[in-house]
Amino acid sequence: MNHPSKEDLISLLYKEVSRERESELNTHLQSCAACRTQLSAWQNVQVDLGRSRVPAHAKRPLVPVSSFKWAAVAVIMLTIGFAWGRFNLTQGDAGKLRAQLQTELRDDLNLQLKASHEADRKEFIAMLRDVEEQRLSEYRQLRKDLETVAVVADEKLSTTQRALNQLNLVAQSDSNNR
Amino acid sequence: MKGTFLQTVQSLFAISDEQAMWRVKMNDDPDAFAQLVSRWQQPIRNLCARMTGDSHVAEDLTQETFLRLYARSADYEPSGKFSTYIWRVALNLCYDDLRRDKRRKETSLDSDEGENLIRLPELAASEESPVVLLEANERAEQVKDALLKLPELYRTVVVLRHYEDLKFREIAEVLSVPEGTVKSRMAEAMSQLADLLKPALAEDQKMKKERIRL
Repeated sequence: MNHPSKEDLISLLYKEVSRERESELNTHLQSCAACRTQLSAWQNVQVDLGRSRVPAHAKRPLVPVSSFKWAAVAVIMLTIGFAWGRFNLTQGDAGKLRAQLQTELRDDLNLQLKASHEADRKEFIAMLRDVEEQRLSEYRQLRKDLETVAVVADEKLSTTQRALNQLNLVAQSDSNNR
Repeated sequence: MKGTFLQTVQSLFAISDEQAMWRVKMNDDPDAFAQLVSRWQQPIRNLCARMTGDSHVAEDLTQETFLRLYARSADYEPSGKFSTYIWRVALNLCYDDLRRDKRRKETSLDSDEGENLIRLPELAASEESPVVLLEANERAEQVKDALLKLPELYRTVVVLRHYEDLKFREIAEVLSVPEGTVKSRMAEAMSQLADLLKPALAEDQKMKKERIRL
């Protein structure tokens, strides 16, 4: 008889064989007392090993879900969302929704344009006002300077006139003396 | 069910062991290291306890495992699974300790065998009668002794497969041997355990008969 290997039997004991192989092994075990005895002895050991468990045995650490699972969750959610929207929207609803959206969009665009236009106008007026103020300021400064020049010139002219008069008087007295 | 759902939600937001170890390696991230410790402390302690048969030594070895993990985080290569890496570190420490222990016993005149061994208060359900409880504890003690009598290589395979629930393929990765080798070691270990437990079972049945007679 062709017996299965010990490796096969141990895999069967710990349920790490394919279904096909498991079926083959079980068929063999039905007709082979030696293999049955072997497996039975191991099963007893397995039961005995189970008797001495360490307390509060944390079976396996919490295994985080891989990014693949995240992606799967995202795809499922998106599919559900799409399907929900697709099957709950009739043609009439879609037309109404489109019209409403168009109106809303148009109003929104108009408002935005108006606001933009108003902002430009205000900016232009402010700029003009600044230029005018600058011009007036420069005019006032120029006028002030001119007045100063006029006053100074007038004073100098008077001084020169007086000096000429005095010179004339001195010249006349000299000629009389001669 | 509630707990399972909560665990699932938690697991969705938890980082993987490999990610945590990468953060430890790159940024010395203490939070990531704390997560690794909380996830792996118990399995590593159990492994060390089963391998050495001494709960105090197991505690020390567990700490040493994490110390080594942190100290050598720069050497960690994220190409393989973190679980394989940590099992390997812990097993190597267990082997070192078993070798040291063997030398200690050889040089010491007084054998302290049995002094620090794990008592197994966890055995058997508390609802059982004292006699049943006692018998179960005795049997568990025999199993533990038999396990400790196995050669290290066989014991390792039994502990990883039976108690830590690793697949033969995973054990092969941890031990860097072919899967077939792991299976043949497991088969041999089970046969040896069966032989070791047979006389103990016979003695046990004899004692039972004597108790009934009394």
